[in-house]
Amino acid sequence: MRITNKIMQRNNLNNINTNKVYQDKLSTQMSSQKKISRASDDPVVAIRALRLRSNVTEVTQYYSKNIPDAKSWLEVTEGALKNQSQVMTDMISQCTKGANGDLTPEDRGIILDQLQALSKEVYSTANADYAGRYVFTGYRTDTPLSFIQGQEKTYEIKEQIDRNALSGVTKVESGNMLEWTAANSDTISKTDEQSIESVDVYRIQLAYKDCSSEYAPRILYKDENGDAVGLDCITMHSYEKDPSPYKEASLDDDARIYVPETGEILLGKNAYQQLMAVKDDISTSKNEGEIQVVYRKDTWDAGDLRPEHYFCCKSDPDTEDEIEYNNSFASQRDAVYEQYQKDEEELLEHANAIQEAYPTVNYISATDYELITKDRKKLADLDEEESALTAERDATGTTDKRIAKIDERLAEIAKERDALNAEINECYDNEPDPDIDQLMADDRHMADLDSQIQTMQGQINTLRAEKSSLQAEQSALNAEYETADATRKAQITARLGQINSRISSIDGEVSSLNAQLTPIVKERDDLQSFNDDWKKIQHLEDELTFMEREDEAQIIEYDVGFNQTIRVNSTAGECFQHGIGRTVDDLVVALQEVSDLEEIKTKIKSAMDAEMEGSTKYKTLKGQYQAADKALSLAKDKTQKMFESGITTFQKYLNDVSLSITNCGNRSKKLELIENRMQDQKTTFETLRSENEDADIAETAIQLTSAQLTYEAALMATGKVSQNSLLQYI
Amino acid sequence: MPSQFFGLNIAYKGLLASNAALTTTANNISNVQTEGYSRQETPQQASMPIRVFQTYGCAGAGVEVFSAERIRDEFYDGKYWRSNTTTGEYDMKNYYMEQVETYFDDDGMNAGFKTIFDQFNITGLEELLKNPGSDKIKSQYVGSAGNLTEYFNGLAGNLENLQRDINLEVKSKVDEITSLAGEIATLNTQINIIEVGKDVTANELRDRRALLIDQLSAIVDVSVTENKVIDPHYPDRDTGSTRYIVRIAGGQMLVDGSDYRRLECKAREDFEKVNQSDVDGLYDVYWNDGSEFNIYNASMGGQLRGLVDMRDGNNGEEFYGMITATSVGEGGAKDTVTVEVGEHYLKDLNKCNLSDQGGKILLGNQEFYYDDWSCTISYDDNGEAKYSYTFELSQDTALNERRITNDRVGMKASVGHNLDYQGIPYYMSQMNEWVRTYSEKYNTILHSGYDSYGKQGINLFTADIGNGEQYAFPDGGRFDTFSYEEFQKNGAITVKSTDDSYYRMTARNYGVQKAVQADPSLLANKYSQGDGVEQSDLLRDLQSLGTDRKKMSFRGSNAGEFLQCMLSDVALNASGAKQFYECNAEIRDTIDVQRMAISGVDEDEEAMNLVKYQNAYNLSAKMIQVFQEIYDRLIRETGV
Repeated sequence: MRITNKIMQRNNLNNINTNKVYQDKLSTQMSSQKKISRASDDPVVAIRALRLRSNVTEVTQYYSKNIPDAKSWLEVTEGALKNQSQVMTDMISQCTKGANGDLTPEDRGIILDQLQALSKEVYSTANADYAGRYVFTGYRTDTPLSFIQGQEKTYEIKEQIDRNALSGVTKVESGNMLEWTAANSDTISKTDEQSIESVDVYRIQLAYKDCSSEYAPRILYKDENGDAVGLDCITMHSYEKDPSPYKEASLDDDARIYVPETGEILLGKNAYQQLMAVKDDISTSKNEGEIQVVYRKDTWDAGDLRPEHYFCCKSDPDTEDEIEYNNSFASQRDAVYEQYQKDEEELLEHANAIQEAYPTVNYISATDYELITKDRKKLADLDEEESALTAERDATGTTDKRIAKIDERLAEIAKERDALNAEINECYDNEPDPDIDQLMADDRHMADLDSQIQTMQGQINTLRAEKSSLQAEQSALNAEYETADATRKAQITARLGQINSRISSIDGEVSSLNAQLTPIVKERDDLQSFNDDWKKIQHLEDELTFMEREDEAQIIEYDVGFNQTIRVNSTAGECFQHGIGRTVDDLVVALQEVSDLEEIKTKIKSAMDAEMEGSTKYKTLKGQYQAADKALSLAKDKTQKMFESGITTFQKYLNDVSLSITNCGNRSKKLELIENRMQDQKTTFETLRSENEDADIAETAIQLTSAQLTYEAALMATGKVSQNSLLQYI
Repeated sequence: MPSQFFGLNIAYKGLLASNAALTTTANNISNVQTEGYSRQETPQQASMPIRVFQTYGCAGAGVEVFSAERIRDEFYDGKYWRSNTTTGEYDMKNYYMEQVETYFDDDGMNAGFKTIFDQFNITGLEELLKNPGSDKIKSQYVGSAGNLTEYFNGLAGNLENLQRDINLEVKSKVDEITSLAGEIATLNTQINIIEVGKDVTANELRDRRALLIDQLSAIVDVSVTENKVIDPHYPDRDTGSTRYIVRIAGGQMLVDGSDYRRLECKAREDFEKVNQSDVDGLYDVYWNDGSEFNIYNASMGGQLRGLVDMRDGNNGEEFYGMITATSVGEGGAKDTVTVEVGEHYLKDLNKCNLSDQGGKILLGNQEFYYDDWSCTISYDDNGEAKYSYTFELSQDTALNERRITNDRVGMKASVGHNLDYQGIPYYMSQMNEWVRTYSEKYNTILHSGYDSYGKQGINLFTADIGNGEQYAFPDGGRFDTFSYEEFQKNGAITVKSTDDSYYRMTARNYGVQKAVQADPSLLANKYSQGDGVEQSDLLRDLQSLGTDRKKMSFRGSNAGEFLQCMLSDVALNASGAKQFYECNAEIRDTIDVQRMAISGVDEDEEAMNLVKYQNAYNLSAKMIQVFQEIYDRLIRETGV
């Protein structure tokens, strides 16, 4: 081939350029430490680098940030739990002291102070925080576990319990003994030995004391058919005497008495058994929640555990604005709610139709109706009492003093009856507000209808009886007619004519009465169904309420590895139960009672010692002293038992705490293992990443040196070639 | 016996020949560095001998030079032009892909999608998962969402600028073609003037013309024919003139002898846009007689091809379907045409790249202008999904000269051209698809949950309308989730191009909801209203949206692997363009070297010629001296 100088120049330049490109690539590798400078240099490396860098970012996040954070959280939790464990141990030792029968008043005072101090400590420990976030409050890390300040705010709380929460409680009925003073020792009643007794009742101890007395709780459970059943409670106050709520509960087997001050629902024997028959629902967490109690509390003291951390609850229950349900049954609830709305709509439609059909009927609200029913029952009770008293009064051998007392009571009864009747009338006159209260047909009207029906039916029955007797006569006469003589026959014919006309007139009357009766019966039935609707709606509401329940445990998990999480929080439900405070409350009240009784007893003793032995006053005081002694020994006995059971209770709580500590420790251990593994993985990924994209400096340096040599050689060759031409030699 | 002076005449001829050779050498030497110059030679031949009636018969009559010849093999020219055309195409692709690649690059330091998405979905979200109640951390997370949207805005902006640059270059290349055509036509005239009737070659002019074709071949493919002009009266006569024809872009006439055609660029109006993402004023090219110069011609090559591919390349995913219905609007209503589509990229509105400002649609063989369109999904009796687009045709008679007729049903309809290259519209469309799909799924999750205030979650990702306002996208509006059951229940759904569907979100206007930026607490983090601040179940779903292929699949990868998909396209295209360019450039250079090997001036050769012809000249001169001495002897001294 013919080679011209220009070809040589061009080829040389090309070669020099190729060398330069190569050198540039190597020097870029040297200075950037990367194998490639743009993705198209090696798409495989570039794309793999993206994935590996992403992996490194992720591992670094786990190893350098998430794991240390999880660690600190666990440390804070562990510290708080250890503290809690110590508190529980102290409580147990206090209980052990308290269980000792021979305690001086000073001892009791010390134990009392200690218990109260410890109980406060429990809840302040529970407010432990990690970087401003409360660690025991599940997802609500922005709210402390307990109220920091006292507060007025209405919560509707739904406490979910199971059969085990039903327990027996002993109450010393000390009459008016605690109100004894030297001044009222003559007039004070119920301080004799008979009125002092120990009462055993069943109760549900709610999580809080000082609950709302405005709102009577509702107990909900599912019967064997799976239908929700709602039970109402009657409110009685702890200060009520004669009878006290406890006494009342022990007397009335069906009693469900709500004592707002102490936060208890006292149960009669039947009520207790009814609830004990509720089956365990294994689908609920820890088998709890078969029995639900809905109640309200308005005032909160500093240190009270906030209910939203424990229970399904609404703050401000009367408005829908601020709903704080935590609900894991939302989808089920929605289905039931839909059904509920449909049913409710149908029922309301039905009710409206009836209301329209009978415009003259008076309607009252369901709440009024309930009140009326209650008042009626009270009236009946009063009647019964009155007749018993009258009988006693009229009986021979009743002392005048007793008669005077009876009269006094009869007058009272008359007054009470008037009051009740007035209340009932007022209820009937109230203009019902259909938006708030479900309407009920006036029961007086119903009774009126009933009596009308009864009268008419009585009339019909009489007429029917007459007709059947006439018919009997008719058939007898017909039989006789064959054999009778002419006169008799004429008589019979005349009589038969009478009978026939009477029968047809009876038939006419009966059918006219029936025509009158039918609309009345219909009205009666319609109104009855109208009234039943209210109960049905109530039932639906119960179903719905029952569905809404506490959420599953609120577990906070941190990502600490690829697809690996670790739980960092312990929830309050595991280690800070309401029971701790309530048990302390019980113990404090019992101890206080003992101290008070002891004081009273001492006072009576000193008053007694001041009187002449044998005087009336002395006798009264002696009786009172014996009563006080009995009350004290009963109270001491009870308190000692309470402390004994307190040991077991606190032991149980201590076990819970220990379990939490162990769980926490296990998590820390696991976290350490993960941390080690993450460290390894981090190194591995960093190595992989580096191998993939980083240049090998030694290799690059050698290549660069050789590239430089080649470049110099190329320059030299070009220089030599382009210098000479033939011209120089001619 | 020849003339006594015959020898002197022969020597004189030798002198002339050497002189001619020497001047040619001088010409070659002076043009040694001239681009496109072909070396020339002066071929010599011995003159016709003269018959002398002597014993030796004929006497040599010296030498004669019959032409100055240009040494060139035109076979190599053709080869060079073809390979130069291919090189030109890949030169452009290489140049612009390199820029695209830089935009998509992510090396960990120069933050690209992966780095930013990792900051958002790993670092940001992991911190938030640990502390979902903290406004500060939510704010950081929302900030990193802002980085993500800005990344897309920037990227889309860069690609738009690039498209604009390419468009300008299209214009300059088209202008260059016209100017080259003018020069070639002028040269044709001059060459004919020189060559006509005489047996001469316009060496230098031909060289210059070939050089112009060299330049033209880089821009666009050329084919050249040169025919002799024949005198019809004397077909055997060599008229000396030629007809030189240059065709470009697959055989379209550019230059014919002294005539040439001009090309003009016309910017598209708003209502002529092809792709949603196209910048304003893309050029279409027309001949000066008004007919269209089809730049999408598959046989077109050169830089122009490379530029058009980069500017308009849609990976062969143009709008395409069958006309199923037409309606002639009455009472002022617009004519509409309904087109049923079957291509996968048309069955998802999130992948749609149809212009939202109106455009041109080819119905059968007639082009119509449309103002608006809507997309409908329904099911047939067999439960097969059917997707159709209804176009509202423009009523402007300047645009649509005639109205739609029913006989177009069954014909094919298409918008834009099938350009099987991954150019800027393709990358834009890919980004839009990701942005829309991810945002829609992300927002839907937010909608189903609650924020720190216990209020229902609102959109985080949205798009800016301009003048400070943002779109409020509703849930849904996506076709791949519209099931047969829903169809049976609610009937077909139709989305108009003007509706607030995610179609209106693009990488360019992608943004973060301002309300959430101002108050990050509005970011939903939990599914249950009553749950406390630490609940993060919703955030976990957000996280898995980025990593779980089942929740969001982008081209078969998960959402976080967007860049892997894009980068593999970009890197493969870039390295492909580079390799093709280098390879073709090498071939071109090799051909050029071969051409130079024949036509190039070699210094040594010319030096040798110089010596050679100088010697010959000297010898001829010596010859004359010898003859002079002979005549001296003969005339003065012989017999005198």
